[in-house]
Amino acid sequence: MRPRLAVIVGLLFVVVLLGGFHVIGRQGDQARASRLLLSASESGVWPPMSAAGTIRVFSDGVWRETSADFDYAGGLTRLTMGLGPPRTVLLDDGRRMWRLDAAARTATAVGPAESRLDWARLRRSYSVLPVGAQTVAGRACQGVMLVSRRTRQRALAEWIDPTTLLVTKRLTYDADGHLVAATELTGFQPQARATREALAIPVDWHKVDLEEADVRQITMKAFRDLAGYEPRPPGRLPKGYRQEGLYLRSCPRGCPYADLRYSDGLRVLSVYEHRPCGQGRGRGPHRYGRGGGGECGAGPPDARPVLIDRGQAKTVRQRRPDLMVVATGDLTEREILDLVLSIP
Amino acid sequence: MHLRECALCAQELAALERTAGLLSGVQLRRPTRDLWPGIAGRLSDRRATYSWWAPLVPARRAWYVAGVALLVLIVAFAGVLAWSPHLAATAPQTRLVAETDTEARTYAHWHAEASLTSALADRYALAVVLASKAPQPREASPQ
Repeated sequence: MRPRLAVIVGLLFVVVLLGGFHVIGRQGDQARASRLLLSASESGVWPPMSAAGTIRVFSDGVWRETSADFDYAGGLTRLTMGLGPPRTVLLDDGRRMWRLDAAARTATAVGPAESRLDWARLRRSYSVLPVGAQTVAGRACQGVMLVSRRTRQRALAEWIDPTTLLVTKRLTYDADGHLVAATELTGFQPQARATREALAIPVDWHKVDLEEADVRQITMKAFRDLAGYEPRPPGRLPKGYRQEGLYLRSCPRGCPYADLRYSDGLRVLSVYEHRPCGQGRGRGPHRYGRGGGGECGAGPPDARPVLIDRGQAKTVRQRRPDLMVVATGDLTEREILDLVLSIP
Repeated sequence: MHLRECALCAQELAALERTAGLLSGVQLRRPTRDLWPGIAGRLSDRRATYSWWAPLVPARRAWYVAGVALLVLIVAFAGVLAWSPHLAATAPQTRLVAETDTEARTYAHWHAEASLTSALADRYALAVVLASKAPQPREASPQ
């Protein structure tokens, strides 16, 4: 019996040793993957390149697919999408996305947002794992995947060209692990089509910047003074989420919408709160000339929260007697329902 | 005094004296070998083979228990490897829509706008969502 036990103990030791080596090796791979992801997200300046690609996105309950041409030069990316005619042309300067209208000689900021990376918070909320090498658009790329520590579901996968630090393929998943967006370069042009000067917004164009957008960041006090009520933050937030700020939106009548915005470092969660027009301040003439059609945010209270899941993010709406609450984000059904119900 | 009066005790004493007389003629011999080292050795062997699991596992079944433990360890190790999400990208999946509602477009649009704040968001996929005309919130939801 004693020799047999010695063999068993020896085998166990070998298994534990191999497991230890595996864990150590994996941690090294994860550290390399993290460095690559951080470098790629901070780089943003690529040599002049032109490429073709495809963009697929699950939105409004259907998959939309479009071809796109990408031009890179000096930290600028021009994206010409096959949506149209006319084709939609966007310019990404790394901080903001602009829609370019050559006929009107106007560049309009797409969305009132500048991109920010909170690496420490991202690492607290997500594990960064290597997913191996893959050839994308003829280039050998390293794959990196973000996996939510809270849900254990994959959230994002990127394939990065280590030479140029360009992301050649990106897959985005929702909180349940379903693919909701895929962008992939399919081939590079031998010669770049444009220079930085050619990509930049011409100086004589009109720029519609964030300050002119329909939504802007606001303080709690300013919102209270404007709307006559104070937004109520949810009592329960999913782990890892932290408030980013309060934004002001307007309904068609001009009544204020509170947009409480949260993030876990990657995903964004918005909680909209809106009193029926007339209960707070700010009721004005209808901006779109549809008088008599009812009141914004009004209607019979929802007996139960209403779930809307049509891709990209889940939305839960609960119309209460004095307040309409809407939460939109990449959360599981249970999380988003809990969140809405936790709003006092 | 007692021996004079008690016949039983006197008889026992006589028997002892007879036994002592018989033994007085016998010469004491030393044992041919000392037994103690052997006994002590066996005791130390028993101490050495004692394990913490001995009270838990019957000696007869130690082999089977060890085999099962090894199997469990291997399965757990394989499970950890399989669990790690080194998964290739899957094809787009369809899903059930909980409720069809025109509000969804408004909030999807707003969410796409807000998601542009994330440096790792797929800005181009969001641009496809935002490229469509921005819907306006409804006046009142039909019930």
